[in-house]
Amino acid sequence: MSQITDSQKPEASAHQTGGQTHFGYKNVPIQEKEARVADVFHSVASKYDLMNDLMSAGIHRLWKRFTIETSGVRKGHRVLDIAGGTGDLTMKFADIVGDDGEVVLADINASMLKVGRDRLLDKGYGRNIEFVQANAECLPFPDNHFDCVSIAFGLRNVTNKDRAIESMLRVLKPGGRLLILEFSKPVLPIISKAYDLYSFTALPVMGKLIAGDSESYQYLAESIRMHPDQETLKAMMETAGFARCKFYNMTAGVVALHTGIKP
Amino acid sequence: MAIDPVIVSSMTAAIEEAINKTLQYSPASQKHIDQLDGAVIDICTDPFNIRLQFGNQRIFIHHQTDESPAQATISGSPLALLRLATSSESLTNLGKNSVVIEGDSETIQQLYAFVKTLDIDYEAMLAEITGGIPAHFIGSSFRSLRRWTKSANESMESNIEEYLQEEGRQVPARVETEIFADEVDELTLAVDRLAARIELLVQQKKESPNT
Repeated sequence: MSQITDSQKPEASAHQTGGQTHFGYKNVPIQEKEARVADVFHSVASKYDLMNDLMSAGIHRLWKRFTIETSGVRKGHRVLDIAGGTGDLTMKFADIVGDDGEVVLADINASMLKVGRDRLLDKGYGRNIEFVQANAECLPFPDNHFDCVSIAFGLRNVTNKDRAIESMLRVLKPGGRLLILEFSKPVLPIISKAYDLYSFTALPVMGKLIAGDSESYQYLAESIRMHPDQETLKAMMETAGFARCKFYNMTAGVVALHTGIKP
Repeated sequence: MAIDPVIVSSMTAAIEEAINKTLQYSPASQKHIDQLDGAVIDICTDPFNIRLQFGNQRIFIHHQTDESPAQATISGSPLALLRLATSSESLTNLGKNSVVIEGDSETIQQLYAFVKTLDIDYEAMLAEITGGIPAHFIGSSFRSLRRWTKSANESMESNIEEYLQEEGRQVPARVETEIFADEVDELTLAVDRLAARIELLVQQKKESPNT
């Protein structure tokens, strides 16, 4: 497994040209990406939580915690957790909104949704949670419906990110908040080098040993590099129509939380 | 350079976990937590401001990154807030403690009632780790030590007071001080009256210089 070089990495801005889009560092037909991403998550769903804890040394819990702290969600609110996966954010949101509120855990992947639903039901959640299989690009919800929409570690897997952000804007109520938690670009060069080394050597090995699948974790590392950096994503949110857009770098920019308000 | 949010979140997570774990051993407080369900209260002790959010019989502790306003805000130095939480004063005397309270008064009353009913059963907490018998032994020893400390403290205060006032004659007795203070007060009033009288006479002299 070799470390990434600039010549290997395609231009992130060159995504979706000529009917092609990126799937990690590969270019694939746009209509294929969704199925390929689905295969990745079908493959890793059962070991998803364990791998998250191992890969991040548990820090992903603090990234998600900060997202909740920034959400401004209150009792009685209606929250949409897109790409909710195994339900980490949904659980916290459900505690806060209480029985008067509602949390929708949406994921495009049936395997992830099943793992998330089983996990939440086993923990005694469910009264104020709905589980919906949905594509972030065309959310099956009415306009102006949610007080808060979150997508944690999901946007980079979406084929058309602009369309997904526009869809999130549509379902938010005016004054509602979008939270995008996603891997981003480290702000310190030394961290960036160490992070690349870790991503392209340790992650696939861990994936092979724990989840029996190194390719999915190779894709994870590649897809992170292809994801828009902090400023680009912020500009995408502003272009979609969000106001007061800003981002918080976490762990030296390895992860960033973007927030925006629907005007 | 700003502190990484992950560090702040790890601190709030630790505080939140400790508080909620401890609250399990104060059953009397549960009723008040239910009353506070949904409440959002900011505690401002610069530079560390936190937000308390009540829900699902828990307290969520957040660093204040959320810009939406809280129902109530309590501001003051950490020492003043600690004094407020531990004092037996009523809520109407809070202004004397250099604590500023803003927002919904009912929420503040409920929070105050919640803090006042906290009665944590530390022995039960300890029993989960050590077992019942060692916990009871440690609890009894701690209570005895606390009683002895309180008694020794009171006794020492009384003895020092008696020595300084009665034996050493270094300071006057409380009654003597009170009498002296009363006399000073009377003298102050008399001087004020005299000053007013002189002022009046001077005024009269100015108005009719020929008399």
